[in-house]
Amino acid sequence: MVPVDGASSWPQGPAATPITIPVGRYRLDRALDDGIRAAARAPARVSGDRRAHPIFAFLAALGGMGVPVAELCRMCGSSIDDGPVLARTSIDHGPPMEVDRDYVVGGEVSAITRKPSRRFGQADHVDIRLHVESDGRRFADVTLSWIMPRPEAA
Amino acid sequence: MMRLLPPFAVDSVPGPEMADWCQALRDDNPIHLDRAAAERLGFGPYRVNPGPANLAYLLNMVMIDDPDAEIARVEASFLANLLEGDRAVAVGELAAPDRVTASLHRPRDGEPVVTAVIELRRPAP
Repeated sequence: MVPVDGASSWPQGPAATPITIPVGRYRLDRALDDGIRAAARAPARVSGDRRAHPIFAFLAALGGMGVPVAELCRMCGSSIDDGPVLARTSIDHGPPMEVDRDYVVGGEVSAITRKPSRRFGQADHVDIRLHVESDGRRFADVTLSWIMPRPEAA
Repeated sequence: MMRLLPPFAVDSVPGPEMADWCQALRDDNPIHLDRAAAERLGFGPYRVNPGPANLAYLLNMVMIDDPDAEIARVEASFLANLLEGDRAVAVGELAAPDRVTASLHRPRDGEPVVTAVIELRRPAP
């Protein structure tokens, strides 16, 4: 395993993997679900139904990491100020995500591959695996690939 | 077994609400929050809609079509970006009883923004 602050050790090439992502927590309350449903122009949650919008499997995975996205970028040797973009995701859903519930999130950066990029010159393709649990039940397994620009490497 | 789902459209992608997505994601990516930063990074003078918001539009289409179905699995590719003010249209078809193939388009140029396969499960009555 690579220490979480190890990114600065690889100024030239992509950071070595795997990188453990610190465990974190995510509180999904009703107001948060209401706000995201409104922002997504989604139907409102039915009264008495605790099921959150299914996009929360992804939101909780990313938002519940033990570090914010900016720090994750730094751990991978990149910077959020360079405007990383999402390339792919797969989400395996367990039971529906529920409001008024706390989730625990863990995972790792499983691979980083540097590739030429039309938009950025050079970019690191960063593969991440995350899992979302609550009370010992698995609610989601999320994998995603992020394109993190590396303009200094171009 | 093939049935088209009723499309789901967002007439104008809202810029200010991108901050709500960023807060839920703990993601301070400036392309979602700052027009000047988006322009500096080559997106033009418009904030860029977060990818999960685009995926949510596809999930909305499925939820509205079959409110009892639960999402079992999603495989999505993010091919292009939506900018604030863009119109977005989600289309899809029920390709199998428990599988929707879906895509999100931006009508200004017809480009696909997200493509996805969404697998469903239906809880026992």
